[in-house]
Amino acid sequence: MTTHGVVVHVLVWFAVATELVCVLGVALGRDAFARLHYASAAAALGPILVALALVVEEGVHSTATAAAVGVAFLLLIANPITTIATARAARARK
Amino acid sequence: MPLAVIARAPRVDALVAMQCAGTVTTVALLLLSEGFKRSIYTNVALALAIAGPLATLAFARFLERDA
Repeated sequence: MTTHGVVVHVLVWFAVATELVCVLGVALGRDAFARLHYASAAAALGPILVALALVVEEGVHSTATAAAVGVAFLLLIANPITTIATARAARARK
Repeated sequence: MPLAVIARAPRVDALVAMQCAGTVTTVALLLLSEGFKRSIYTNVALALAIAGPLATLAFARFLERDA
């Protein structure tokens, strides 16, 4: 396996491991605020790592790369907004 | 696992789990799209990345108002 392939594999597996840890955190968290911590980490880290893996695999001029970077950007922008809105709802219902 | 939280936990916790499930599904669709070389999955991932946070915002607004 080339260095290029190793980098892609490491990025993808790191993304999958991150998502798994975050899902476990959401499932086992003690309250909504602890769960929010893991849910926001899932939205921030996983898509960026997948987009980076696609940039390495396909290059910057591919359609798949553009879509993955777009998805990562959208989730990165929307993540703080949804996290704050959910935390406000959780505080109001506490 | 997030689906179990959605089914059994209080409403706000279920909302957090739904948010996390949407993110995980989006990432999975991106990986499936690359793995199977089906660009349609990428379009679904893009649509989910736009619609998911909007749905979360709407649910959070209703839950806050309902408190």
